[in-house]
Amino acid sequence: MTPANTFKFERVGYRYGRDEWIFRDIDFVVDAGESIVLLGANGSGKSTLLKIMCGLTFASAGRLLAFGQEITEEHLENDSAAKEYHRRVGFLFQNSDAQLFTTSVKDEIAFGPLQMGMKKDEVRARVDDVIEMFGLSNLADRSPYRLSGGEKKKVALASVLVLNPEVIILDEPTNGLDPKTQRWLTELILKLNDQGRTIVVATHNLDLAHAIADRALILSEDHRVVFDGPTRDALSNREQLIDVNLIDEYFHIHEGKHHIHQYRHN
Amino acid sequence: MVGPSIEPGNSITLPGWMNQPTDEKEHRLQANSDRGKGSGFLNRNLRELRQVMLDDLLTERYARRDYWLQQLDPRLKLLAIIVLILLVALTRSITVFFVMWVCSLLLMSSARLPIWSLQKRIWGIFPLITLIAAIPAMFSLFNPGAPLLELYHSMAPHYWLGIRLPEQIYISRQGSIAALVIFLRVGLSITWGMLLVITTPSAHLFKSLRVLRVPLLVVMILEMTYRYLVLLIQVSHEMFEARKMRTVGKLSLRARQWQVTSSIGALFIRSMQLSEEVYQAMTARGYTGEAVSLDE
Ligand SMILES: Nc1ncnc2c1ncn2[C@@H]1O[C@H](COP(=O)(O)OP(=O)(O)O)[C@@H](O)[C@H]1O
Ligand SMILES: [Mg+2]
Repeated sequence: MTPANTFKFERVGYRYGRDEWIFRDIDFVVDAGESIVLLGANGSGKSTLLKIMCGLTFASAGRLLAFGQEITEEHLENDSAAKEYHRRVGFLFQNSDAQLFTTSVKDEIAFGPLQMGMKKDEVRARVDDVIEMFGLSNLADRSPYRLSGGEKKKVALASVLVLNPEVIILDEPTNGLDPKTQRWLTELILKLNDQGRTIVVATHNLDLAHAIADRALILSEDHRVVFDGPTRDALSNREQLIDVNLIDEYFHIHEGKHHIHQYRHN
Repeated sequence: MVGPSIEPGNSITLPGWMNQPTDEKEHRLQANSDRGKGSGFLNRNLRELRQVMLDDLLTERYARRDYWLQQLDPRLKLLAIIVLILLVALTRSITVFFVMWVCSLLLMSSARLPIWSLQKRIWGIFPLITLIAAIPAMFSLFNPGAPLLELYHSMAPHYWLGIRLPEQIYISRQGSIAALVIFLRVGLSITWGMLLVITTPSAHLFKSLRVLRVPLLVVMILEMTYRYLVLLIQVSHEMFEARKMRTVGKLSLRARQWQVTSSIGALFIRSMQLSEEVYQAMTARGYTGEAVSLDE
């Protein structure tokens, strides 16, 4: 394994209960600074795979290496190892309601840095910066559950980015967002990637996949990786997309070069 | 650009009866049988609960105004309310209860709270239930004393199935006072609690618990309990609305019972999943069992 590898999946399998395998023998590598999109229909196992990457749940078979270190339950039982890993790898949950658990937006954003043992003054400064960056000033003292879907997503993302992670993993980030907020999010992801962060996004939003990722992995409905290569090729292979039930035969994919430009040069 | 565009395809075959919308008249006939009134005990209570939880507490509608009660330091408020509730629990003097009630009304009016609707909510459910539960205590059988209202009197003792029936049954003065005291205690405790909660944003309230040296972990558990409660009420409300939309007319008792039990099952599963995810979300941000807070 070269140091440039951020994640390395080696024959990873996952099951619920005794022998209900969700997937088996997953092999792929994520390099540092890459931007990868994980495509797959509902129930194909995207969320599960991402949670394994984040060290929130653990492979039932095979192993996952991250930053050259095998990530196991035992390894993360050590508090400082766990804190370090979770600081480096940020995760935006599919369900913002689960992610927001404190009673004010400010507390929510401060939660991570405080757990990491950052000094309180520094935490305050960072929180203020992030609130400013996300334009959340007028919501800072509100309860997170009184926000709209888009605002919740922003707060959740703010609470991840405040830790300044090297790797940012996002689970269906554009779900339920209006087009403007989707666009804002897309640009943010591009920017973070430009700054050298590794990005992994699970989605079935082909627009988003197109805009942000050079490389795509496709998970089939029977939970296998059926494609690993350039996003452009993934999106132009209609048969395959139909095969994994992401689109049907009436779906049109237009040529997307202009579109990429639109995002890249903003 | 990649985007869905649906062209007229024939891949979905509609069942025959769906080819035309249902006849308007037929529809109305069915719907007429029961609509509007009598939405049922459960529905009404859920609506009420949601009204209190979501509209008043969550929107923090009253907590965010600038009257003096809202502006008061939440720690001071919390301490004062605890003292008041202790007083309510210990005193037996009806005069003290009455004075407290008048004071609470004055406070509510000075904080521009909707006094009438609050009174309905405070006294309408729990104290009333308590009062009904306390009715037996009013009778001489359980609380003998000075008669207030005689219900039955006989000179000689009567026996029934070998049980000696009491010669006299009356509502006793002591019993009535006991029932009244319980009723007032419950009502006034709710009054004070409500006054605190409704005029204080929840975030401040939880923080002020720290002043009482409540451990951070306990405060966090309380916060999360509150959070789940809110989410569950939201979800359950949505579930009931969705059901109501699909229910025309009256359902049999059995069907309603089934609805309630199956909803509770679904709610339970959802809350389990949610708590698992919340825990993961905390872990993902570095929580390892010992929480740190900004203000300490
Ligand atoms: N708690 C669970 N118990 C059993 N099976 C589960 C559980 N959670 C998810 N699954 C199954 O795991 C598979 C993958 O789920 P998930 O990772 O959420 O997919 P995706 O995020 O792609 O929609 C699905 O087939 C789902 O039914
Ligand atoms: Mg998912």
